[in-house]
Parts: sequence; structure tokens; C-alpha cells
Amino acid sequence: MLIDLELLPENFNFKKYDVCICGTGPAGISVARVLAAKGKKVALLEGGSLAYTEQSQSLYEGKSIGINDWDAVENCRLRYFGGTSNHWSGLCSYFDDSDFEPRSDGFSGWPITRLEAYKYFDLAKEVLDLPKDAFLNIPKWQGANFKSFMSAMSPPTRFGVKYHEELKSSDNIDLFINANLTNIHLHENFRAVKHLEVKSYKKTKFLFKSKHYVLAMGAIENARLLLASNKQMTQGIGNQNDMVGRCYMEHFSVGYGRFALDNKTPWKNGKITLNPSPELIRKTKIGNAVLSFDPDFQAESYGRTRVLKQALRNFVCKSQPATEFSRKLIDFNCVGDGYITSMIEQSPNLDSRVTLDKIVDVFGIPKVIHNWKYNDLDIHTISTLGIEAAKEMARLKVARVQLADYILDKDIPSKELGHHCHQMGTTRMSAVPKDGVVDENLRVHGVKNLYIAGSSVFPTGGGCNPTFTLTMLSIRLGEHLNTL
Amino acid sequence: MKKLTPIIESKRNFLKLSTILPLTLALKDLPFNHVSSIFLDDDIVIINGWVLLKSDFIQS
Repeated sequence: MLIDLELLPENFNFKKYDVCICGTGPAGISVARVLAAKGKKVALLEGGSLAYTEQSQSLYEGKSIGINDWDAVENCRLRYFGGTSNHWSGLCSYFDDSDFEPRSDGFSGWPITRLEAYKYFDLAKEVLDLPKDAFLNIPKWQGANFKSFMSAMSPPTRFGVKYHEELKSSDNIDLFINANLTNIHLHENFRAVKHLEVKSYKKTKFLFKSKHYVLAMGAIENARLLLASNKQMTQGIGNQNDMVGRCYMEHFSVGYGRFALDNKTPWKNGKITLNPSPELIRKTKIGNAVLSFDPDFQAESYGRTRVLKQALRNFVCKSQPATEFSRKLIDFNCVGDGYITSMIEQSPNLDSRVTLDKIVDVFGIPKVIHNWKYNDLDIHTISTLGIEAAKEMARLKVARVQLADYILDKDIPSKELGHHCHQMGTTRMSAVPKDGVVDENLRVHGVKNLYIAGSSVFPTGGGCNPTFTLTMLSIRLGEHLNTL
Repeated sequence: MKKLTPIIESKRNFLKLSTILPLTLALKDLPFNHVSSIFLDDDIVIINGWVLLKSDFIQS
């Protein structure tokens, strides 16, 4: 059933649910669907409406004091039904075994094995509309230190579109829109959630009660609401070890430089995308990554004389002698040259974090201060990967790489560090409370009925896009809650 | 100094004179490992940011 909270009177008497889930992105909807299929009664709360509104999106306002400006942070997210899946690219990949290991700098790894995390691999493929042969038939890379990046494309699945009818018609799910979580209220012993305080845009207050509660609002909002629910515990909920909001991670996007294909290479079409091998990661103590070598098969020209330059380029590139002559005169790119792009794992970093501002939103909730930082280990990872990949390309006689000066100098200016809209780590999973916020079952340490879903629970970011893994973990959470 | 191989001659003009001259002089009578500052491992050399094979550079 679909219920607009704007239309309900104050003191409306809700039924008691088995599970109350905040957030309708891939994580929240995946948990809800599993529970509903098992016969559990679910309240699924969306702060926005069924479509985009400025009123809802503006509640994401905050400020950045770290690497990125705030627009780059805010524009990643969408605050309406279906969440950020509404502009998701659809690229799916998965973690390696080595990603689950403790890090070289002493940070804890994943408290669960890869086998456990990926127990629902096939189900997640269905949820995300991946083809049956997804991740298969990817050509094997023959180098010593890198391997083929295992990826597959979702159409992409827009959760708010695909699952709208199913959720609306479900006897077991009440889907509430315009339902903004404003406070998590604990029982007197502070060891369990008593109810959620939720407000409509008219600021009518409602209390939602259930046996279990799940926050699935993204890495920034999950941390924000835990920290802002500080009326009973001044440090916020689940923050007894000052870990909520810390270890904010992204994947770095760094331009490595360019390459020229070897004349004899069989690589005549398409992009080659590589991960470092687990052996290289362990030996050089670097993070994981994806490096993409994309030959420019249709070199473009830019500027006011673009058409003329493109015509000349096309003419010259057809002739080997003319190309060689041109290249001796100017720095000249032809079809077959290309640039190297990347998606680099960031190491967990206590100083990279989300905190609360003194400025509040229309509901009185403090806005966030986003402080994304990198450290020396990240620079080591970025630089080492560039040099090792360039060496491998040369040794295999596939291409020759020209690395940017800042890669070779190991002095990467922050303006060269972009991101991928993969916000992770602010409620990281840990075996013991001092290392994170949730346990191996995604339960908040010290609170017996509060759970977190989404990439905020990732202890490390790996060299892969997060949606496929967070979907598997959310299905696993649904299965776990069903057993309680 | 031996002949430059096609990867340098025909693919790109990246060897600037300021780089190639001192390098040529340095290599003329010395084995490769004596100019270790620009070599990675035994078989790789970096020139002007390009990561090259030693065999790209000199034909034996």
C-alpha cells in the first residue's frame, strides 16, 4: 500500500510493524522485498516523493571542507523514491578475496568472508536485471601483475520504476512517501530503539514502531541521523567509540596519462579494464583499483576551428608517412592513442569524515560537514599502480604509456583527485565495536534492534563499483532479520 | 648508439632533444645499469614520462 504522509492526520495510529526501513534506494527496497516475501510486515519510509522535488533534495544541503566542493557531493545523490538508482550508471562488479583482508596500515578488514557476503550472488543478479552470463566470457588478461576487471552492465535498474507496482500492491509492505526521519528514540536503557520520529513536510510528527529498524539512506545520511539523534546519548547513537561518520571513503578518479598502441598489438577494438592482482596488492601494500585503457577510435578535435581540424586529422591519420611527419612537428594524436582513466580504492582514514554543522535544516536536523581526505597510503597506491601498469603494457608489447608527472613524482595535487559518487564507510562493519559501527550482521554495536544497509557498512572499498555488493548484503540482511 | 626502433621513430615525437642528447652520451659507452636513475627494473626505462622497454630504445 502507498501512503502519503502529507495526507495523514496527526496522531494517526499505525499498526506495529515487524521491520521499519528508512530509505528506498537499492538497499532499502532489497531488504523490504526479502522480508515481505517471507510474510513480515514492513513499513518502508521515503523522505521524498515518487518523483524529484527541490523541497526534498534541498534537505541534502551541507558543506564540504575536504577535497571536493559540496556540489560534487550533493549531486551524487537523489532524494526520492528509488533513491540514487534513479541516475545509476548500471556498472556492476565484485570484490576480490584480498579485499576482505585486514589492510596494510592496520585497519580491520571485513568481519565476514567473501563467500558469506556473496551468498546471494545469483539473487542480486536477478534484482539488478543482470544477464545470466554476467561476469562470464570476459577475455583473460595475460600479464603478471594485473587481471581482467570482472564487470557486467545492469540496464540499469531504476528501483523506483521496476519495483513500484510490486511494493504498492504488496499486502506486507506499507510504502510511505514524504516521510522524513527526524530522530531515533531509544528505550530508557539505551540498548534498543523504541520508535522513530518521522515528519511530513507540514511538520506533522508521527511515531513508527516495529521490532527492528533499518537505516538505508546512504553513507552520508545514515551517519548524519545516527549523530543527530543525540537527545538521549550526547555523542549520538552507535557512536560510543567515536566511529560514526569516520572512514568516509570514495573511489579516486585520477587521470594517469596517455598511451600509444603498439603497432603489432592484437588489441584493435574496445577498452581494456584491469585490476591489480592480489599478489601485487599484497607485495606492494597498495589498495585495489580499476585502470581503464580506452583507445580513441574516433579522435575528436575541439575549439573554434574544430571542423577544419577534424577534417585535417582524418586526412592525415589515413596516411602513415603523413602521420609520422605530422607527429614530428606537433604533439599529434591519432586513432589508436588513448587516455588512462581509473577508479582507485581509498584506504580507511579516520580523518576523512562526516560531522554535524551548527546550521540546521527545516526539520531542525544539523546539516553535514563533509571532509573527504586522502593520505600517504593513497598516494602510494595511485603512483605504484600507474608505474606497474605502464611496465606491464610495455612488457606485453601492447602499448607504451606516458605517465603524468604527478604520478611519477608521487606528488598528486588534490585537484587531480576526482571521485565516482561511491560514498562508503561511515558506519563500517567490524568484528569489535572499537573498529566500526555495525557488526557482521549489520546491527549497530550496542543497539539490539537497529541495523544499517548500504555501502556505508563497507569496511573497505575494493576495486569495484559498490551497488552489486550492497544489494547482496541487503538481501542477506533481509534473510537475517527474517530469522529473528 | 644504435638505431631507434619504430616505437619511437614512428609512433610519437616524445623524445625531446634535451632528453635524448645527454641520454645518448650516457649510454654510448656504458652498460644500461649504470644510468640507474632513469631505469626501472632491468628492462624498463622512463624517458619524458614514457615507460619504455630497453629493447624499444636500442637494437642490439
